[in-house]
Amino acid sequence: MASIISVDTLQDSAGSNEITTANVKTAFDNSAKAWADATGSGTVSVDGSFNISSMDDDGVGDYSFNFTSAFANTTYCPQATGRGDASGEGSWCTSTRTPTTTSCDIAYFHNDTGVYLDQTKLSWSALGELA
Amino acid sequence: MVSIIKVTSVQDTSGNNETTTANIKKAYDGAAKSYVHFNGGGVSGSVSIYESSNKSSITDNATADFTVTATSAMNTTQYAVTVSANNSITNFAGIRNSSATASLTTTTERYYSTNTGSAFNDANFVMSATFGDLA
Repeated sequence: MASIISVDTLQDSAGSNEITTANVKTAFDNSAKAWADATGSGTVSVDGSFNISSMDDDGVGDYSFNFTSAFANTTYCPQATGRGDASGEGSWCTSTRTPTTTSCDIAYFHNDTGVYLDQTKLSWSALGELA
Repeated sequence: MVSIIKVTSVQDTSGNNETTTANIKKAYDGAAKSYVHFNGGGVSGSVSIYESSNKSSITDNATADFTVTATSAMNTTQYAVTVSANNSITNFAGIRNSSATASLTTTTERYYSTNTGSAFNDANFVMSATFGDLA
């Protein structure tokens, strides 16, 4: 049987770090439900993550992250940044080409040429609701 | 009357998933205070919200020029906004400088999306998140 405490506010035992129960819920609702720090050149790898089961190399500059726990719908809010090469070559990215509840595509392009570009490092996160 | 529990940590009834009250507060402080995923007009010609938290509306100021309005205000204009965008489902052409912070108030963010030629271009998908303190 689930136990429930009904309370308006939490404090630590010293009376500090006060937070309302409503804000505890906000913290969960608006926290990233998945994120990844990854290597996107050579053999791709997930270097740090939350709720990521695997990463796919879909082509040059083109990746997918697969989730351990699915999102509730496909309208979740992903964002990404990346680095083209060690010298800081610029890149830009796009997400959500074909988002599903269990995976998300992401692609990166060269700043000047607009062609697909592998990323030495990339970061990705998604806000939204889990199923 | 407001009820307050003073406790160092919270855990489930099995003794697992323990977290301190201090870390619960940090989770709130570091969480996005609002986010939105919206159609920037590239899909249907009119902007619309796909999913959001603490956002009330999107204003289409002009081509690729958006103002996003929050339901609950931030306590200062010194908050952080991150944005990504995409302007095509089929060919994966994207948005280069979906730059944020062109203009911030405590309740609105205004930003623009551009294409590979740096021209203003309506995006199919714009995704932003706001970090900071609510008023």
